[in-house]
Amino acid sequence: MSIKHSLVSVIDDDESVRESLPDLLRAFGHRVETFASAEEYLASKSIHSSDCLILDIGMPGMTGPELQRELKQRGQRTPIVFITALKDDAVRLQLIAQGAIDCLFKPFSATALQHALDRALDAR
Amino acid sequence: MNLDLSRILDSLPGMVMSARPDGRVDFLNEQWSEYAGRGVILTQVSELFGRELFERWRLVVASGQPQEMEARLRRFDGQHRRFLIRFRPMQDGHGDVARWCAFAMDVEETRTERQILNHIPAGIGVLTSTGELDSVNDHIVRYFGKSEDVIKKWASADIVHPEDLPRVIATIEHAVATGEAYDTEHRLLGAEGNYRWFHVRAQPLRDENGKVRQWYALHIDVDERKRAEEALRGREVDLRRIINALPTTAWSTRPDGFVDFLSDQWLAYAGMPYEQAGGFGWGDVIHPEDAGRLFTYWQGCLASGEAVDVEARMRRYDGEYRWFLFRANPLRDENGAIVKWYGTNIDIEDRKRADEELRESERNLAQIINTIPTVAWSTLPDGYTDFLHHRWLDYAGMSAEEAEGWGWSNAIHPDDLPGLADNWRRCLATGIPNDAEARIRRFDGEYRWFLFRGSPLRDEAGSIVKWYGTNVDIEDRKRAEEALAESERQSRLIVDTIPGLVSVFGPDGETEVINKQFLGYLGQTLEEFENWRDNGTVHPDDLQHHVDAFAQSLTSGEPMDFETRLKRHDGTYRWFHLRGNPARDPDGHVVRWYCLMTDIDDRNRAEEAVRESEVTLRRIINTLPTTAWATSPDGFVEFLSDRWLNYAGVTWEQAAGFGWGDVIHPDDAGRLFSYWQDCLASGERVDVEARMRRYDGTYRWFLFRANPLRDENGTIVKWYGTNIDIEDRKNADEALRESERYSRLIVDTIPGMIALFAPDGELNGANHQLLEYFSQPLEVVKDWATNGMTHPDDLQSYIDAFTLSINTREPYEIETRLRRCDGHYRWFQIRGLPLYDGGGNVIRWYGLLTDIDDRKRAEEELRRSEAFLVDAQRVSGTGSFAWVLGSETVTCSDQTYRIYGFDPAEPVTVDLIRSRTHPENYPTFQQVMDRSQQEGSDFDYETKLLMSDQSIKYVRVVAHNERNKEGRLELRGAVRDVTASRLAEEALSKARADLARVARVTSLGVLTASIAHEVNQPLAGIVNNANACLRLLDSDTPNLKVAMDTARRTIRDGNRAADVIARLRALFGKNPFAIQEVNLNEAVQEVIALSRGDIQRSRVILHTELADDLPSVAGDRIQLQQVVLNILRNALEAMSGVGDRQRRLLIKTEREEGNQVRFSVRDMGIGFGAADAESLFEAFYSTKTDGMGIGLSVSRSIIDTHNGRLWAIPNDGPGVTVSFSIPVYVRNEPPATNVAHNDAARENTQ
Repeated sequence: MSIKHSLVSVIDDDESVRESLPDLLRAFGHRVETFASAEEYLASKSIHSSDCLILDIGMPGMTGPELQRELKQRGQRTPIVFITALKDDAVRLQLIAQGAIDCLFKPFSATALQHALDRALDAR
Repeated sequence: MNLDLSRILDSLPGMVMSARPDGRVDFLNEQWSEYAGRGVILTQVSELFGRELFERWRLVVASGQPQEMEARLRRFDGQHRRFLIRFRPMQDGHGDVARWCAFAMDVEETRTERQILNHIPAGIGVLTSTGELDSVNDHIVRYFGKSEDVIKKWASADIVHPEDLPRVIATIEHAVATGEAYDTEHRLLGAEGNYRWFHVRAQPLRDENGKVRQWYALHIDVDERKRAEEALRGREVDLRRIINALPTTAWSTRPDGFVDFLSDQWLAYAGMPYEQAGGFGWGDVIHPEDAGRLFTYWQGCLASGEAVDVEARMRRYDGEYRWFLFRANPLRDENGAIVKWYGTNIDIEDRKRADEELRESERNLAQIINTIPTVAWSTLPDGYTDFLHHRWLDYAGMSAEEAEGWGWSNAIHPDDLPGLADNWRRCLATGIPNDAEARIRRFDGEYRWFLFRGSPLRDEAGSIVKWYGTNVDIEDRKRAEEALAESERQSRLIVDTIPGLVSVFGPDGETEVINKQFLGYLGQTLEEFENWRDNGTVHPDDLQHHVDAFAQSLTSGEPMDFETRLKRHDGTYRWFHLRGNPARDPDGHVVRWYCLMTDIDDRNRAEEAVRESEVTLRRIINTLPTTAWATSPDGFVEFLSDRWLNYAGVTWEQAAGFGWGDVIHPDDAGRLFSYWQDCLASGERVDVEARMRRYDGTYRWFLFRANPLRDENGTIVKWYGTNIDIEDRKNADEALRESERYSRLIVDTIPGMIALFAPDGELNGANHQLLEYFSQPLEVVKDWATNGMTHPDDLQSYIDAFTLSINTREPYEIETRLRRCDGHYRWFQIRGLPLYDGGGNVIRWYGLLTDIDDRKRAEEELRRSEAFLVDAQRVSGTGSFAWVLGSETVTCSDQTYRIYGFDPAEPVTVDLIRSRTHPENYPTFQQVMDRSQQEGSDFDYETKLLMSDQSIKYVRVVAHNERNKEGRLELRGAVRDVTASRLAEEALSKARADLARVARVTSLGVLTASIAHEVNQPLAGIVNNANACLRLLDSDTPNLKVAMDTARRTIRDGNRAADVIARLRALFGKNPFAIQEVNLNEAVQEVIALSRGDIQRSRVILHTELADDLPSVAGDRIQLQQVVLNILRNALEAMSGVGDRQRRLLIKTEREEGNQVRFSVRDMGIGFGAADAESLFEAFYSTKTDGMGIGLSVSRSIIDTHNGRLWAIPNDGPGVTVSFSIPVYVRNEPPATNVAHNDAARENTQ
């Protein structure tokens, strides 16, 4: 199954997310890389190899939506699943309208995550 | 018409017109339309051109040919001027007229000039600079009878007379070469073929560089005059010939007396050439004695124009002077002006001589007639007696007929007749009279001696026409003569031998004998001396007296005794004492006078000198401005000067001796006389005062001063004295004494200290009060400068001022400390005033010492307190000021000057203060100025100053406005520099604002988000870990180690979430959100009060419209206030950039339909545009943690919580109105709450 071998990049400034999410994603059968900021991700090789991005909205420096625009400009169509600690449906709908696979409010369920990842990887 | 072309036409120096082919004018340039007047209508050509030109214009149009004409054009003001107008057709390709153009040039002026030129009654030729003829006027044209063009082509030779030609050419060439004006006379050939004389005067016309441009030659026809002159010249030659042939001299002069003609006779007589005698040279031949008189007379005639008729001697060629009669008449022109004098000199020498002789005879005649008391007669020239005085006839007892002719000789004594007849014949023959004596028989037969004296009368020719004569009875004299003949002979002997000058006179004074010595002295003969009365023997000054005294003695017979000066042979006069005694005959008749002259010249001279010196002395004495007198040793007054007599108004006779005593004042007389007696006795000098009466009866004081004059033995021989008028001085003294008495009175009663100083500054008097103060006698006080009475610190300046005053005699005023008797120094003001005598000399100084110690101390006190005040002002940075409303200047303390940074030398004005005020504060400034008009206003405001170095200063001004003493409104107050505290406050308020912003961030909506974020993060970790753990355990080969890790991380994140909650609780625990009844007006007023400083700093003018009947609202008072504050702050911030309009803020509360209360803030800030409106509302949702967005978003969430509504709308004008509405408070109704739910948590807890 090709799915099992997909590379998911997690970009979040919150360490607990960077620690907890890879274990769960590997349990889903994905390869995982974590980045503490958008800038860090843009500088890595994963920018070309990632199959999906799990992206925090509010980060110091470049925010999630900004990275989304940046990648779009660079022609990177990597599917993005946003995660955020601030629950704001308007923002969520806006982001989806702009092409995001989904926007999950922390704390989100494993099911919601897996569902979103499935859609993301399907969309690829 | 193209615009640019029309401009060109407008700028042409002439008038331009254009017309259509049919003659209708369709364009006038600027000049023409200006000339014609703006109102002129182009199409009315007849009016524009005038009737005359219009007609001609029609002809021009009809002809289609260019034309040139002069015509008069009407100016806008109705005047007409002459123009040269050129019409020209413009033709199109077919040769048809397409347009007419006209150019008109004003020739009015040139025409006038030309007219003048042509009407001048003289020819005018204009020559080029090289002398070529350029143009001529009509006059010349007429003269030559040819056109100007023809004349121009002529050569000079064609018109100028051949004789004059070379001269004319030379003249013109010279003029052309030098540029000098020329002047010639020459003949020009006229139209009739005759030459006429012209006087040509030519003047160059130069350009601005001085170069000759043209010559103007004026030709004046002088032919007539010239001819007349020629004729005259011919006549003159003839005339001269005639004159020279005349047997008399003749001459002529110019009006000024300059002789321009002298006839040959004249020259021959004087033996002078004309060159020498012409002009004024003739004066040399006039006799020096007559010259002055003649010239004066001649000048008079020249001036008055009166005919000359005067006599004077002229020197003949041989040096002899002869008398001439000068006669001359002026020749006048038709205007009556003298053009010449013509005169002759007629030799009148011979006539003159005859005249002289005639005059002599007349004199004799007069003599005779004067002697008529005797008897007179006259005869014809041949001696035939035609007249005998009746007394003669009476005496002789003859009838006139008997005596006529020679009949009278019958009465002559036969013995005397032959002698007499001889003498008479001789007289008749020679014409020289000669006295004769002869006896004439009286009617009674007795012969008596008579003196016969005759004199001829001559006519003008000198011929004797008659003899006049007298016979004087000399019988008595003759007899006495004879009687004395003997004694005379004797006497002569004596007389001649006397060593003195002796003269003997007859009883009638006729000289009989002069002794040799006398003759020798006189250097005269006896005959000469007989004429002593006339020949200068007696000094002229003495003559009258001499003659009188002599005559008196002769008449009275009293001896002669007088002094007289007689001339010595060498011409010098010497004084003689003449004494004469009469010798009488037995009958007592004086028969002879014997006179002895004694030379007293030397004596007299000495006397004279003495007299002269006395006169001089007397004059000196009398001119002395004082009286003088002299007395004998016994006091008898021998001399009083005129001045003395004039003063007393008495005569010398009255005052002499002891008469002067009468004028002494009775009160003084006794004293004076006894004093005078004492002086006379002791010989001591007199020095006493007494009053003397003046001529007008007033008495004046005099100082009598006299000294005795002693001879060599020491005996007093005389007293000399003067009386000096001392009335004025005396009066002055009296006045002085009076003033002093008065002063003394004042001095001793005055409640002050008075010191008196001598003119040199020495203290010589002090009043009681002064001595008491020092408790010292005057002798000690005198040494005030050295004895420590004056305070050492003041001493020098006092001495300086005092000395200066003494020297300059100016009053002084000085303050100094003087030691009282108890040792205390007290301050005194000393005023020194000089007292002058009548002559302006200081005779005393008065010093007034006023105790000013208390005042001085008060002054010191005041000064000290003032100094304190100044210090206080400086230290506290507070200045004071006072301003009388409406006045120009504001009185400011030094510190105020410093605060405002004003130049201390400059007066502070309201405008100056305004100029220092920061522009932002102008409204405040104006408010203050407005309010200051109200009496009793208090001010307390802060204002910002913009200093000259652009730095900002904050000042707080506290002032009060009330009426001052003069009843005018005066603003008085203090200015304090609060820059430092204001800056600190600003810093503080900034910090507060920062804090507030933090508070806003953490408040409510943001707070929830914040809390959610903080909590969700660990929750996300927990959920993820738990999920991972489940997945790990659920797999076929569970990785227990990793599962355990995730479980551990779950616990850790759970703790983290708990920590967050704990922190939040700690932060908000004390301020639980509580809905209660809130009075919104009160809450708003509290916020305004809290923000007063902000509002003022933002320079915002706040208005409030808080509804009175506003119901309470339901809500959290603090949160609502936070919203109000937020909105207010936003409004202030929005207006911070506004500088061009007033920053007004309206805060309003009102009741709204639907049981709502509305609060709104209307600002006049920058507002927002259509685009900004979007972002403003967007901002409500933005996550930005700064600025308006968060403020409004926080506010909105608060209002939301209160079930209210918050919105913002742009104003019609500038700015925005932000409002919120919340429900009215209803009792017993639980307020609505809005609880947030966490879906995710809920999801996970399911």
